[in-house]
Amino acid sequence: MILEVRNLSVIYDDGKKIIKAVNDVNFNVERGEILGIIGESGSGKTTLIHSIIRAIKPPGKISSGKIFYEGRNLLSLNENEFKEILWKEISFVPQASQNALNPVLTIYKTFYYIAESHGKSDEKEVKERASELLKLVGLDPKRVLNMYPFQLSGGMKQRVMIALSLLLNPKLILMDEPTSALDMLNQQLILKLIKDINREFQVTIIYVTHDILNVAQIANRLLVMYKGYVMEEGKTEEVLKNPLNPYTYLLINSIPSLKGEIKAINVLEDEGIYNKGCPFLGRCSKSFNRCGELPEMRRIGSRSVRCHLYDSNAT
Amino acid sequence: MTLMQLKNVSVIFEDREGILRKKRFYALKDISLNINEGDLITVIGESGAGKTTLGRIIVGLQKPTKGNVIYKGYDIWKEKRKMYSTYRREVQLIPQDPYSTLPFNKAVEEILSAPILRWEKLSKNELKERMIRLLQLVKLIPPEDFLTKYPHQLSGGQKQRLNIARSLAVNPKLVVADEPVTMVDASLRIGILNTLAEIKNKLGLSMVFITHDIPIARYFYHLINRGTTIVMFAGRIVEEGDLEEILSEPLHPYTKDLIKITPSIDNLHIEEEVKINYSRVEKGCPYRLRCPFAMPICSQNEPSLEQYTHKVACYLYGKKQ
Repeated sequence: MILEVRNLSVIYDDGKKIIKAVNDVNFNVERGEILGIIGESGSGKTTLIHSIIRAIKPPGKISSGKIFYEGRNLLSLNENEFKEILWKEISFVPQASQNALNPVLTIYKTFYYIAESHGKSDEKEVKERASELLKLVGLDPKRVLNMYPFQLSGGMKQRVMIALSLLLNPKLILMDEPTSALDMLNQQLILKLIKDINREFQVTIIYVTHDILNVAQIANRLLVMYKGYVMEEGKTEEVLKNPLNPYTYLLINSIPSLKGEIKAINVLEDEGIYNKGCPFLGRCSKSFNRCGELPEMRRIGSRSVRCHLYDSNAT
Repeated sequence: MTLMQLKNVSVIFEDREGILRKKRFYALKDISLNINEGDLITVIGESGAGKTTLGRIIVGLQKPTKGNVIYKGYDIWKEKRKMYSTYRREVQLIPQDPYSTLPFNKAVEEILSAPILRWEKLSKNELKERMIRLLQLVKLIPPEDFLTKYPHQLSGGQKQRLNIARSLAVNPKLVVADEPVTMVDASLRIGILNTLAEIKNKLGLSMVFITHDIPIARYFYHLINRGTTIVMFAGRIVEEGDLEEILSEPLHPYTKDLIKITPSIDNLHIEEEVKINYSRVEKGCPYRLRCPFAMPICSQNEPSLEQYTHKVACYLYGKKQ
């Protein structure tokens, strides 16, 4: 196990209203795997990832929980200790990487400054390493190193960000929607690249996205979130074949097929705010009276699900 | 009956290279298209294919560099006075991004009444009735509750529904839906497509449905059950015909590649590598740098759109006898 998240809750408190963005989230990440975290807008997926790299800023606050990286609680480290971990042990590919690169620095300078801030200031060495990584992600280092971000296409910028995340040989990479701003062809190519990096360097990857079909192509396990709660967790094939939570079922069935018969799909829509009970209550076609109470996470075989439908089968 | 016609429409952007040399770039090249009343035209293509430019041409937000845009028999850019205001009213756009296309400081009733009052004089009651009908149409129910809300109080899906209501406010005949569900959460997409199809059928609208997502295009097509599909690449129509026929027997190498890389729930493995090359082609077929079947002729001339089993612009296919 490389990462262990225990009872993590994050709130946003602006003095008037408290928004619970992440509620009592628990999960483990095994060494060498790709964990896919799926969630739509408002599911808390980005907040969750930001908690791991301690990037939650006020009015956001981690209200409870622990995050263990190789046994050390990241949340209780001091600034300097954590700085040693960021980039070197855990790196991060942010959402909309298009805008994450500094527009006034060439790609080489961007690589150099990050290396320098971690004590590697030999220009030649950094240049060699950067060239190697750019080659790995399918870019021509001779051209790209001297370019500015605006000279690169969206797919190329995303590749640069991935190369950058590998600069200091991290063991864990967090990726937030790395392909969602790209067209279909680039999405597929970046997915393939991520899978290759995972295999070749044994890097563990947490991949956050709203698109279940996208991440299912590379993830070993999936974690489905809704309104700040984990709704379901399991191996990718099992979740896809037999989704337990009605929300996961809806997500999978909302993908029209490319071949075969097309049936009209009916969707319940109600986005009212329920302060109590199951977070999916307003939209669930299978809800019953017990759903007014928040269901607990239950283990069913190798999987976990948050749903009252499975209360009796719990082991 | 033909509602709208594009005749050899090209949109050319010019890049300056140095002081004297100009480089021409075709955002659209030689597009001809017929839109009949009640028709569904599905437009498929990747980013940069010219899908959005085509949408802007149809609603009149972009003037073509060459060619004619004809609405109800009138060339709207050359005989501007006669038909222009009717045209601008009857052809509306549903934009892609529900988050940035609604004014944040206006309530739903202001957002909906502005376009109505631009064209019609209605009493207060008539106006309210009209807005309530619109909100019912897009399933923002109960409509009375939504009238006083502001966009930030709506979810992404509800915002997009409001966007749809706004474009229907002036009773259009033709609606261009430019990636209407791309920015909407996956679990809400199908619901919006269902509503959009219901509206189209109920009001007998013509619709141009633009998307990069083939499964979404296919689902919508089946809700309507008629219409033509065009596949675009680099500003050209490279294939045109019935959607199911295109999917089961794609002709153009680009369409084939596009289908190959589209993941589906029963086929999750990542497909073998497709060539990527974004260099602009100056001469010949625009797809030849990525095409596995490129022949010498492909770099000489550009193939035109010809009838085969359905229409395709590719030298692999001789004219079918």
